[in-house]
Amino acid sequence: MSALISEIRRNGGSQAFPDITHGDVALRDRLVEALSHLPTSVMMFDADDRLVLCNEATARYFPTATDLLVPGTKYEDLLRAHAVSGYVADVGEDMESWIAERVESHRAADTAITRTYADGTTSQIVERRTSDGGIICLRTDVTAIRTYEVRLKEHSEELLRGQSILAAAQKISHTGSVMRDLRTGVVEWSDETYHIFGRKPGSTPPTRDQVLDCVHRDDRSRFDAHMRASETGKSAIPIEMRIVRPDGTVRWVMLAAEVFLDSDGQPERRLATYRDITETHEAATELERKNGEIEEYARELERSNRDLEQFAYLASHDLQEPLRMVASYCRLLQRRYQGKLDSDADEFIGYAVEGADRMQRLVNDLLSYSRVGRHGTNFELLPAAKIVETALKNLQNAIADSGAQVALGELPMVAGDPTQLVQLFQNLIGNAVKFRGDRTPAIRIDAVPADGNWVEMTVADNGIGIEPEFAERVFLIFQRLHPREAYEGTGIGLAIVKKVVENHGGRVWIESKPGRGTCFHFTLPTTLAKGET
Amino acid sequence: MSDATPIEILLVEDNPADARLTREALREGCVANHLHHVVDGIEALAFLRREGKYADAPPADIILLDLNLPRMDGREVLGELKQDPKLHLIPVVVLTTSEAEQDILRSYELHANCYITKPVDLDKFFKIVRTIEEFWLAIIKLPGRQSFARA
Repeated sequence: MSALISEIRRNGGSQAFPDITHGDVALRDRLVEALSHLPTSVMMFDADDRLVLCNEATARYFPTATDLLVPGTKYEDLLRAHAVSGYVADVGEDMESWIAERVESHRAADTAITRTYADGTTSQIVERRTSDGGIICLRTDVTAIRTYEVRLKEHSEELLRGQSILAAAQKISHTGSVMRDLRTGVVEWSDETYHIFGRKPGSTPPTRDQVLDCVHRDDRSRFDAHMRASETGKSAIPIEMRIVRPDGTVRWVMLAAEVFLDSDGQPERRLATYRDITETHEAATELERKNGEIEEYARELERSNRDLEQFAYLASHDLQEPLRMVASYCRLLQRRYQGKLDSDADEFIGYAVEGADRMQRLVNDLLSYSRVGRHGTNFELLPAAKIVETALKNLQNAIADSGAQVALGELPMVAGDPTQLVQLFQNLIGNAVKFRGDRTPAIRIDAVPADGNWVEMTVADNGIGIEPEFAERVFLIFQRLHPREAYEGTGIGLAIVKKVVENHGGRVWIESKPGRGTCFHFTLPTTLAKGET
Repeated sequence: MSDATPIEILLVEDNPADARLTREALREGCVANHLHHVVDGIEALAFLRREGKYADAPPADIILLDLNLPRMDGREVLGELKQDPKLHLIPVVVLTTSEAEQDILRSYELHANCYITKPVDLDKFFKIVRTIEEFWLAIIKLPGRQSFARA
C-alpha cells in the first residue's frame, strides 16, 4: 500500500480524506490533481507522527527511501533511512543525535530549514502543525535558486573587489570620476573626486553650478566648452584647467569627459574624469623655466664668445700697427746704435727687440686664430687626400729638412671649408715634424668611418709624445709644454686645430705615449648639412 | 752710390713714424734721392700739380702711396692720377699694412704699378725699400721712359 495521494484515492481509501468523502467530489479530484502535479513535496503526518499521505513529488525528495513512503511510516524511521543511505549530506558523525535533533524540530513544527543533499540538490523544508494535531511537511527544490544565490554572491564580491581596485587606482593616479545621468540629473562622485575638489567624501555632490564655481575663473569658458563638446558624442581632447578648493588652494587638473549612449543612440550618461596634475604641472613649469634659463645662458655665452672673438680679432688687428712701430724703431735703434752706447744700452735694446718680436708673433697668431671661421664657413665636399696634399706642399721645406716620411691611408671625401681644413692638416703635420725627437719623423694619416655621416681621421707620429695629463691642455691657446729654447712657437697651432674641428661640428682628442709618439684623432662630416653649399 | 741726379720721391703717408722709417730706409739706400712727404691725398695732388704752396715743387719721379689716408684716401688719389694725362705715367708704389684682398685688387684695377704690404719686420722693410730703388733703376733703363729720368 502506498501513501501516495493519487493511489489512496484510486484505492478508495476514505481515511485520508475524512472531510472530503462527503464533500464535493469534483473539487476533491481537482485538489488531488493539483497536488499530484506540484513540484513541491507535500507530506502529512498524524498526531502520532505517522505518514498519512504524500504527493508524487515526494519520491524525488526521498530517492533512497521510496519504499517507506507508505501510510503509517513513522517520521523518525523515514528520517533514519534517509540518513543511513548517506543521501543527507550534513548528518555528521553522530547520526542518532542528528536524528534526535531533527525529530525534535520536526515536532516543534516551526521548521524553516535549507538542506543540501549528496546529489547536490538543495531543498527548503517548511513544517507546520495542522488543526488535527498532525504535521504538514513541505519540501521545495531550491537548487537553482541556491546556485543563483552563490553566483550572485560571487559576483557581488567581484564587484566589490573591482570597486576597491578602481578606488585604489583613482587614489594612486589622483584621478576622480564624476558620473552624471543625463536623464535624471543624478550625479555620482568618486571619493577621489571629493578629495581633488577638497571636499569630504560622501557629502552631497555639488550641483552643476557649484562645480562651475570651483573652476578657476579664467578656465571656466574652456571647461564649459569641453563639457559641451563631450555631449556631441565625440571624444574631445582633454584640457588642463585649475580648480579652486573651498580653502582657496588651486589645483591643476586634466579634464576628460565622454558621453555614453543608450541602445537607441541617445545620450545616457556622461563620465568626466579629473586627474590632479598639480605636481607634474609645477614640475613641467619649473622645467620649462629652467630650460628657458639654460637657453638664455647659452645665448648669453654665445654672445659673449662672439664678443670675445670680436675683441680678440680687433685687439690683435689694431695692436699690429703700434707694435710694428715699437718693433721697427727698436730694430732701428739696434741697427744704428749697437756698440755705440755702453754695454747696458746694448743689453736693454736687445731685450726690447726680443720682447717686441715675441709680442708681434703672439699678436699675429692671435689674429690668425681669431680669423678662423670669422668670415663664415664655406663648406664643400672635397677629397681629404687633396687637402693633405696641399698641406704637405705648404710644408715641403720643413718636411725636406727633417727627412720626414709621410704615409697616407685611403682617405675619403669630407665636407668642410677648404682653407680651414688645409690649415688643420698643416698644423698637425707641422706639429709632428716639429716635435720629432731624435728619430726621423714617420707620419701616418688614416681614416675610418665613424657613426652616421662622419669619418674619424688620425694623424700619428713617432715623435716625443705628450704626457697624458697634458692631453687636454695642448689645445688651449698659447699653451706651451716645452721651454721656448727647446721648441719655438707661441702655442697657437693646436688651438687652431681644435677651432677648425669644432667649426665643422667634430671633436678632437689625443692618444699618446711619451717617447713613443702621438696620435691625433678628429672627426669630420662626410656630407653637407642642409643649407650648406 | 749712383752719381745720377737724386730722384724725387713723393711719400704720401699720414703716420709720421712710418714716414720717418721710410726716410731712414732711403737714407741707407744706394740711390740719391729727395724725399717729399705729404700727409693726405689732397696735399699729394696739390704737390704733383704744383698748386698753392707747392708751386715750386719738383716733378715727382716716383710716388709711394699709403692707402688709408685722411681727407682723400690712396684709392681716390690713384684714380685721379691715372686719369690725369700729365701725371698718369708716374710710377706708383702702393705701400700699406692692409692685407685685404679687395685692396690689392682695387689698387691694380686703378693701375698701381706695384703693391707692397708693409712688412712687420724692419729688415724686410729696408729690403723692400731697396727693391723700390731697384724698381726705379729698372724704370730709368726702360726706353721711352727717359723723360722721367733726369739724365
